[in-house]
Amino acid sequence: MIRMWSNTFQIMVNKPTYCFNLTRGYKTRGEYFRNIGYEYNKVYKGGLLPRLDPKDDSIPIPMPIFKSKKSWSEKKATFGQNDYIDILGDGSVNPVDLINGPKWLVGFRGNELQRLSRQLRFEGSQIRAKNSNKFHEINKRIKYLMWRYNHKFGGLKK
Amino acid sequence: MASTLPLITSRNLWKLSPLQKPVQSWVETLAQVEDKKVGLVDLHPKIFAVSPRLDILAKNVYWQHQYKKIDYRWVPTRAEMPGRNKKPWQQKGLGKARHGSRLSPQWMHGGVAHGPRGPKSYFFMEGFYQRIAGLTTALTVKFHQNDLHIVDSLDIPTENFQYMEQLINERFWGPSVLFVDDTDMMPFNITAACSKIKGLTLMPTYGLNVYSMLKHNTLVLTTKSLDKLEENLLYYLHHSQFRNSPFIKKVA
Repeated sequence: MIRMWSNTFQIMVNKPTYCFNLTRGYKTRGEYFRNIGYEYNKVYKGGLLPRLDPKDDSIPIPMPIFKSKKSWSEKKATFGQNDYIDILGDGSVNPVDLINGPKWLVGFRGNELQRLSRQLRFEGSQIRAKNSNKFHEINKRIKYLMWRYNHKFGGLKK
Repeated sequence: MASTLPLITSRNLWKLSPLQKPVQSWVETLAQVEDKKVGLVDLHPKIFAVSPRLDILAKNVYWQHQYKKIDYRWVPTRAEMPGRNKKPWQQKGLGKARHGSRLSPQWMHGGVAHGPRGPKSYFFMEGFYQRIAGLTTALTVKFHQNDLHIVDSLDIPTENFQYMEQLINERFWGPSVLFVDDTDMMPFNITAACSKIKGLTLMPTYGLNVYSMLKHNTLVLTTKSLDKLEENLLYYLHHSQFRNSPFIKKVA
C-alpha cells in the first residue's frame, strides 16, 4: 500500500503497479498558508472585549459552570455566633474557650519556634511515646530555628 | 388582642443622663401578617444612639474572622523528607553539575524551602470596650436605617413557612432576617417555619454579634432580649474594673 499526498486530497492505492504515473504531491507555488485552522469570520472584532459573533449560535461561548456559594448554609448563616458571649452572657464563658483546634494553639499566637516549644510542653511526652521520629524531628527543627533566629542575619530576621 | 392594647408604654432606663433623650421604637407582633403596632418603648441612647464609628465595626468583623482561624497547611523541609541523604554522584570527573543531596529544594521530590509550617493560629483579642462599642454601633446603625424591629414575642399561629414569607413580604423586611430571643429553646412554630426558608436565622441573646447583624438585612429583637441586652451592655459600660484586663494565656 502506498499513501500519496497531494495538495487537495489523499489517494490510497492497494497495488503499487498502477501508480507509476502518479507523482509525489507537493504544494504548488504561490499558495501561502497562514494560521491553519484559524477562521477569520469566527471571532467578533467589533467591540473592545474578545468575544464570539452573536449571530453565530453554533458554538456556545466557553464559560465555567455556575456553582452557587450556598451563602445561607447553617455554618455560614451562624458564623460568629457566641463571639461576644463574655459580654452578653452570664460571664462564665469566654469566646476563647469555644475555639476548635490543637490545645497548644488555642488562645495563642507566635512564631514557629514558640509554637513548637509550646507543643512539646503540652504533649511532648505523648509524642515521644507514640512517634519517636516525630519527636526527633521537632527537636531538630527547634535546634535549627534557635540558630536561625539568634545567629543568622545577625539575629535580626524572624 | 384589641382589648389589651397597648401592651407596653414605657420602660425604666438605667443610668440615663439628664442631658440625653431616649430614642423610641414601635413594638410589633408576629401574631398576624398585617403590621399592627402593639406599643412603644424607650431605648437607651448610650446603646441605640451612639456616634457611628464604622472603623470600629470593621475592626470587630476582622477580629471575628481572625481570632479563631487556624491554618493547618504543612510541607516538609529537606531535613524531614524520607529517604537517604547520600551524595548522588562524585564531585569531579563526570562533567555533571555538582550536587550533594537528592533532597535539596531544587530537585524533584525534594524538600520545600520557606513553605507553610505546621498548624498556625491567627489569634488576637480585640479590646473589651472596643467590642462593646462594636455592638452598640451595629445596633445604632441598624436602628437608624429602620432595620431594627422590636416584637413582643416570637410566637406565630402556624408552622407553615408561607406565613413567614407573607409576613416578611408585607413588612419589607428583606430576604434575610435575624430573630433574637432571650431563651435557648425557641417556640416550635417559628423554628419549623424558618427552617424551610433560606436567610431566616434564630439566635439567643448571648449569641448576638456584629457579623451576623451586618450579614442579615433586618434584626428582630423581642422585648425580653432587649432588656437583657441593655442590662448587660450598660453594666459593663459603667464598671471600670474590666478596663485593660488582659487575656491570660493557658499554661500546660
